Amino acid sequence: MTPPAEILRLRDVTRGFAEASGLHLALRRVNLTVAEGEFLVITGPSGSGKTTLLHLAALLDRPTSGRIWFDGRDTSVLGDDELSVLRKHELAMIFQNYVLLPYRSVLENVIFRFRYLEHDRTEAVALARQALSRLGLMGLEGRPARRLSAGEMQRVAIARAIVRPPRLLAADEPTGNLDRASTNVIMEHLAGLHRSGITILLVTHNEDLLSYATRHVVCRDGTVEE
Amino acid sequence: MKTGATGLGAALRDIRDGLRSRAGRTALSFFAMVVGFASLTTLLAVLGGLEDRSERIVKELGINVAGILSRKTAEKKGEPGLEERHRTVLALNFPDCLFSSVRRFDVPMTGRDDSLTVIATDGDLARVRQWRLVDGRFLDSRDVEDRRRVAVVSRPLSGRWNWKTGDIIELRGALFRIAGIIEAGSEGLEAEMKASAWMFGELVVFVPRTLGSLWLEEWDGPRPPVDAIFMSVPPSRDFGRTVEAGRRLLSQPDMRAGTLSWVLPDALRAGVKELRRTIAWTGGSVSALCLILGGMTLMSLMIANVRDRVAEIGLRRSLGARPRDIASLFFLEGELTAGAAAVAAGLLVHLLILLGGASTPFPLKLGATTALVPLITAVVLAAAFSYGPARAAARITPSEALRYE
Repeated sequence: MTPPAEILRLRDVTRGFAEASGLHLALRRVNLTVAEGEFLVITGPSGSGKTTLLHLAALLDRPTSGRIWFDGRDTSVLGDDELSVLRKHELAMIFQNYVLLPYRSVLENVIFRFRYLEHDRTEAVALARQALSRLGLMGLEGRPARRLSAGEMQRVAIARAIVRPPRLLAADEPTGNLDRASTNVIMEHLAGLHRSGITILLVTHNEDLLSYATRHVVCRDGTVEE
Repeated sequence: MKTGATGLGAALRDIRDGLRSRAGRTALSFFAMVVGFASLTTLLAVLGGLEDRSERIVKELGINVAGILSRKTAEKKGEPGLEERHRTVLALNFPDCLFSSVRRFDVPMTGRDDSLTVIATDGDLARVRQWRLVDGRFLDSRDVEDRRRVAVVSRPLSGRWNWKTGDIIELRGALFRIAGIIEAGSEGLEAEMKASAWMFGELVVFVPRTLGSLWLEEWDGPRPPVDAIFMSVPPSRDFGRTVEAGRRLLSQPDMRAGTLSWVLPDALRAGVKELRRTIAWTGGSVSALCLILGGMTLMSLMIANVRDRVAEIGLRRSLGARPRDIASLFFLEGELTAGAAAVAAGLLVHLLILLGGASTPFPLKLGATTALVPLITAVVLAAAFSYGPARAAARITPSEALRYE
């Protein structure tokens, strides 16, 4: 049997941030390989570098040193525009703080996933309605995002990420603001996406979610342990 | 239909979101720019009006025409002034030029709100001043010699009081038959240049000069016998040299013409040009200051927008926006705000001028310049003041943006 193709590889990745007290290293010489179709859960205490790792994996950030390969391509040699193309077509991100457009409706927020893609508006609306339905948000399509509860905002953010299934989905605490029932709905949905072949990287504090993982890594003081 | 990053609808929705997120500041910036563009539009209307007035003044005087004016106070001070004999002397010395003398009387009309300008003159005035006859004829030498009670009226006067050729009209108790209607070329200048001795305004009646002393002087007081002599120089002659020769001739002591004012087309143009320059500098400085202030409020709005929307920038970058997509988002916001302000200011100023422009102390002219220059200025101003914030927004990395909150 052929082993699954590698979608992401981090080699000796270090990420530092300039602070008043000097350079703070959020990640130190991290090595991590993710195979296509994996459901990788990343846990670890606050400040251990989980979100930094997720941003690097989602090509939203560049390492201070080391290299990242996505789908076999060395991203260190890619320009901003080329990285944008990869993010547009191959990746999706669920943010911990939702990042919704407050003056737009729920439906418009979900359709915003297509903002920088060539798309058919009617088809996009239909896909958005399906995603909202799956996440139990039907009936809220016309409501401005600023008038939603935290849990509803989280689900809209998830709907936006999955309305057009990516190859790699990076989720930063996607159930952080949800109750147990809603968490289960979301996780079942992510598990369904995983079963359809999507690679998922999920950062969480919730140990209960490890049951969905095909692999688990822990971040500690900027390092990653299997 | 496929749409994408360049879709107009999507771009407009993006801009609307940006402007709505800071509605108060956007309104402040918008109104600051409206003030700037309104001042610019007004300035352009005034400058255009002055340019127009300059051309009309020269046209009113006539091409290659010089006006020789007596000082108004000449007779009161016992000084000599222009007389009919000066016209005769000029005509003898410059036989190929045309001359005409006038006396002007402002005559209040009984039972009407209007007052008339009665010009007592000879039969050559219309030819000298190059006025167009609308109907009938102008005065002729027989009218002058025989002191006929005939009158020629200006077209606006004919229109206002419905006077036609052949009508009998009463002027200060005397009856006159209208011999013709003439386009005297001074429409619209009356209010602006009422005091001028060579410009007669809109409501004008021309009568033979030989009637003037008997009929009109009783309510006009003692003055020099002639208010102005007009001299038309043919194209074959050098205008400047001919005028200079005429000036030298009348300044000889035995002429006893007193102190004269020479009204020349170039001098009229220069006067208006000087006024335009003064207004352009003063009004232009005010407009520039207003526009710079407007631009600075726009820049402040854009900086605040970028700061408030850092997370949104991160979201857009995560969805595939390139740095130039982010830059163009804020750049277009600035352009749209400034453009809308220019359009609003233009509409406001045009409306105000159309409604009340006639009562302003300056002539005003609306046209392509007042419509387009503010718009072009808006594009340039917005580009200048949005560039920095747009560039700053484009340089925010996705990770930096998403960590911001």
